[in-house]
Amino acid sequence: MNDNTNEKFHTGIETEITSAEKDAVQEAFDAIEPAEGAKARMYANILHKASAESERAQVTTSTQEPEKSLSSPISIASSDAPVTRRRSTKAPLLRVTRWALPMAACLVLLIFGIIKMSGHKPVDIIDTQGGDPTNSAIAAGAQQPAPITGYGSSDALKKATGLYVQAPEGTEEVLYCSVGTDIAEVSFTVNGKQYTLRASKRADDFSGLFGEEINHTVADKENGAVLTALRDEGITYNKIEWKVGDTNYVLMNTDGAGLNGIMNVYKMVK
Amino acid sequence: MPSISANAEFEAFYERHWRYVYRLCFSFMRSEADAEDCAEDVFVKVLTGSYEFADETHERKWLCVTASNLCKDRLGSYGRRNVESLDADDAPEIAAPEEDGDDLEDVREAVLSLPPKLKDVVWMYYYDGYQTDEIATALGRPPSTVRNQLRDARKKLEKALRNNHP
Repeated sequence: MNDNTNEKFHTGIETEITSAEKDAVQEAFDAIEPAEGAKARMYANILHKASAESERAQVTTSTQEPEKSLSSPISIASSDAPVTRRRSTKAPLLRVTRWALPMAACLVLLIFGIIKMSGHKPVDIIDTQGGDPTNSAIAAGAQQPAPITGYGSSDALKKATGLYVQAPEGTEEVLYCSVGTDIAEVSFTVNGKQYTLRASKRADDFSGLFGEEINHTVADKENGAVLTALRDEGITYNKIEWKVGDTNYVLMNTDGAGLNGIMNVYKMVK
Repeated sequence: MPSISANAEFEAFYERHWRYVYRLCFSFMRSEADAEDCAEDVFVKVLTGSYEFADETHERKWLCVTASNLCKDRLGSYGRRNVESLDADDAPEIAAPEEDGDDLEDVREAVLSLPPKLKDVVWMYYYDGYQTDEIATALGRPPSTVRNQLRDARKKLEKALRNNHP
């Protein structure tokens, strides 16, 4: 097809489509609405997955560089399963993992080796998966999310950040990580509800919880703990903030544990 | 945004795009759980990678290509192309807004039923408003292929669209 014919064809299909058609299809896509609470649930899962991925990368690195393993964060045995969402049946995936996981592990080792030798940034690897041919555009002031690093225990996290957070005994899905360099975080599940405890010496609000403040009460006079309820998109979120010495703590729940739920957990972690 | 953030930049990024990515993933996966799972994985890539975006348009284009590739890979991995769910609990959950008329519902069903290879073209053309040449560049397909795919998709949507706008 020469350029001229191509142009006619181009003009053909693009002019055949009316704005009414476009509107109808656009409306059809716009009618797809996430389930209630999806926004917060997905966000919590993203942090879980990112933390677990960071942890896996560190395990791979420490396998490749045994001389650094003592000072590196170690792997953990605790579950890092994302929270409170129905999972679809994915049996075929399990069959594939028999051979795919060892192969993927070898590939990761190989890629890390290549990166180390060539000094390339990991962006080059992930780009091949992401598939954006325009991704070479780089601008000043571009997005750079803070790194989340997973740790195997509260001690390992303390060693890295100087901050101590500990999941209460008997809790499930415990995951330790640092956010940037100055926030230590542990997330865990109690009675099916997920809680996140953060510690930092920062004076600003490092909870990351935003929304319309609907309640603000003293939760514990002894500790000066303050309970704040926030609302967004009809869903209520709770956080309790307090200070011990020069360290600020915040305990959060975003999946509807209620005041009693967060207060009970506060009593376990304070 | 009422979520636990990695940092302000990522939180703002998520705020800008979460609904867009979810919709795109749902249009491929046709299940709330799978759509959320795929959308999460797209954002995990952003969070754990060292991506730099020139502007919001660049962000959207990257998210669109990455999410559609991820969904197509996932559909391929599960062998779920044109296969009905085996489990009643995992049956496709297509949200049906009560106030929508039947005609819009027909269009939506027709759009969601498109094969994955046409769906990304339809999404980018109709929803994002890209021209066919831009779609071709983004998806790495010849422009003539994109136009043919758009034409094929339109044929498949024809009946529903005719009912919606006679």
